[in-house]
Amino acid sequence: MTDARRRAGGGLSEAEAIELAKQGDAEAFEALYDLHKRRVYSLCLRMTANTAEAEDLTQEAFLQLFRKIGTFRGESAFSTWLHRMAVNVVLMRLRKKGLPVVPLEETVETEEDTPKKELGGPDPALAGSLDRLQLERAIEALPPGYRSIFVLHDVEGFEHNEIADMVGCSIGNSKSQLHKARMKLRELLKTSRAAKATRP
Amino acid sequence: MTCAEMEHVLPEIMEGVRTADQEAHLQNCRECSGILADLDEIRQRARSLHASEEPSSRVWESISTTLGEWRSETDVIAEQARELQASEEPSPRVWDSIQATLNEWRSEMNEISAEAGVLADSEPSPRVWNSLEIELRKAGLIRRPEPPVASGRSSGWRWAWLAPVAAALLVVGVTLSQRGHAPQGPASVATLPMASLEDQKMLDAVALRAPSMRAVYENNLRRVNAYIRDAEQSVKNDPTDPEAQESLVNAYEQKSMVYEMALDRSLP
Amino acid sequence: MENRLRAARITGVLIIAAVLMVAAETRKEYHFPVGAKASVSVTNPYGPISVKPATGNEVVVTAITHTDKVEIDQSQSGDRVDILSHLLAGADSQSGRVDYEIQVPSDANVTLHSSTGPMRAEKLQGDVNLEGTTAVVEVRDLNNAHVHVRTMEGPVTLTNVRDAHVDITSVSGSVVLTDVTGRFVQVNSASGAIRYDGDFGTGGEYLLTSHSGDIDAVAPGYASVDVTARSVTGQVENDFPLQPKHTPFTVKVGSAFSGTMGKAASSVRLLSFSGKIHFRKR
Repeated sequence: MTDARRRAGGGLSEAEAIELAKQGDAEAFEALYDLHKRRVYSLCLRMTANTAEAEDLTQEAFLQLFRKIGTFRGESAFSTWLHRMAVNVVLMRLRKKGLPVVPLEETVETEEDTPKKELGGPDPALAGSLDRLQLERAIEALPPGYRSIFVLHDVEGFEHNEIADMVGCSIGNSKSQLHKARMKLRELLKTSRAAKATRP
Repeated sequence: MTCAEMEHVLPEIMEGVRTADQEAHLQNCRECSGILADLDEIRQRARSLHASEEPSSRVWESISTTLGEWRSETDVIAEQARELQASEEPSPRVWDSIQATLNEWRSEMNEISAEAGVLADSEPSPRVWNSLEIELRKAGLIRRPEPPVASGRSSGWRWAWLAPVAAALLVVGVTLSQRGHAPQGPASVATLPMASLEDQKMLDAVALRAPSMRAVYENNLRRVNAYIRDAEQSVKNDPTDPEAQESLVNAYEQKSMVYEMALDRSLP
Repeated sequence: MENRLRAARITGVLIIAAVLMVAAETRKEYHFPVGAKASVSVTNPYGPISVKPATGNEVVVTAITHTDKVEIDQSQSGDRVDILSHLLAGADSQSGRVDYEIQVPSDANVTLHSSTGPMRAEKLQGDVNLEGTTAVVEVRDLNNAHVHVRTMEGPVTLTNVRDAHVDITSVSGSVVLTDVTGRFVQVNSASGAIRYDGDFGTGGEYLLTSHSGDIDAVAPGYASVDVTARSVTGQVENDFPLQPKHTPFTVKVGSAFSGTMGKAASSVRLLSFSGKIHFRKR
């Protein structure tokens, strides 16, 4: 528990912390960091699949929060506002590195990227046998463009119109790329499972 | 329905939209129903990854250090400002130091804003649109759409933005007054006045996006420019005339509407 | 004989063309359950949009596309529904056309954007925002609504809109208001003609202004108004015997008049730069 919370008798609400942080209260800002660090860091980690990069981006997102918290008017939930800020920080970094944020519909996919069609009979279902670690590894192995869309929609819960707005694509593109990302994940998970099964 | 057709509509089915045909196929096709079940499992499992990771303590330490540095810099600036107030003659060294720090902050802010701008505008030819938008917003010629106002609003509110409109008037009015136009009656569209450089840029941008609409925008822009010209002349003739002032506000509202429509990328 | 053969051939071609057209049409229907004061936005560059009240608490969207050059993007976030006709590469005003019929709860706020339209809204009570470039705009049978229309050259018609806040901006499209009354009714036109036919209600502010478009206000003898009319260079006519009022406004025969009728419940201002103004008796 931080001093700010102790000072307030252990009951500093998020709204109170925001108002104090706007006035430069360091402890209130730390309280906000504690409240939201997991969500911001998880987002950065999933989008970049790199721990060091994710920590760097988390730091950048919160520093930007410190600079801009004075502009927060309460028109949306604070977590939504911060979340979008974090997404923009990540997307800016990806663009700086020249990495695709979202594959364009017109882009010709590589052999490696395109989800393969099923061959042979049906495989055992994933349902009931998919664990978190397997899924995390599969997400890390996704091409960056697919990874962004999948993380923003299925992990972080953004709607397609929000994603389209943030990354600069059409809603239709967002939907079709999400589907391809999920199909690719399915393929990666099946391949990994098959590889495990054949290991001595 | 075939499996190939089913694959095509899987995204819609995942969103809960399915027809009787599609339902029937899923009941009878193990492969397709298997794929759907797998995708659904992936989607549901993905939610469990939300906010699931904890950053190391290094992250907060780094943030805290940076915030401390910023606070020190702010204190230095504040101290220098106090010195400045107290001294009879400002030392050039003090000014140089303050300006250097402010310039650093300014370029940092500009970098962030520019990157945010690049992020927001990722369509073809963003520079044309952005430079137009920025110039128009600076001139107060376009503004964000406002929500409908509750009853009881009188026409008095309209004077509230006469000030920025008057500023825009200076820009356009000087240009037009140099041409020495007098109020004229209705004229054919082709003879109506055109265009500042911004108007031409806007029309060129419309032509890039929707060539068939260029003529529509050009004709209407001419009409609006004629409106502005005549309204400005009326105000010049009698600056105290409230109807003339209102006319000028109306004319600029029209122009801002044309620009907003031209810059609206959701429509041709 | 030859003529009959030719006629038969032409008929055959027309039938085939019609069949092909129908075959290329795709009809989709979407349902969105919503709560009170839902917000519905439709952006459709090419094609008609028609909005009517729904029977239940849901938004029903029926969209007909005519080619595969356009796709429907639809999304819902809480009580906000967004529909967008997404034009694909090579789409034009024919191939990119989508025909929409939308049903919304009557208290929903509706925003329609279209380039060619037409756009129609009827029997609603929420906020209605319509924006078009050349689209015909028709609004009718609204009660206690906010109506905002922006158009470059599409004609605008409002009929039977009561107790409303109306704000219309048109560059060259004509504006016709029939039986439109409310707290605030404003039309700003550059060269489009403005016609008002109604009694101006029982207490509101009516402002009809133009640059060169003619303004025609038709009212019954029982209208209760405080009216001011002026055209800088155009002709001004008045059919009513008005009571004079104390005002700094300068009355000038043929260019400006001012006065009251009845209890002067509503304020009416008819202003133009070079358009003709006629305050007519019905």
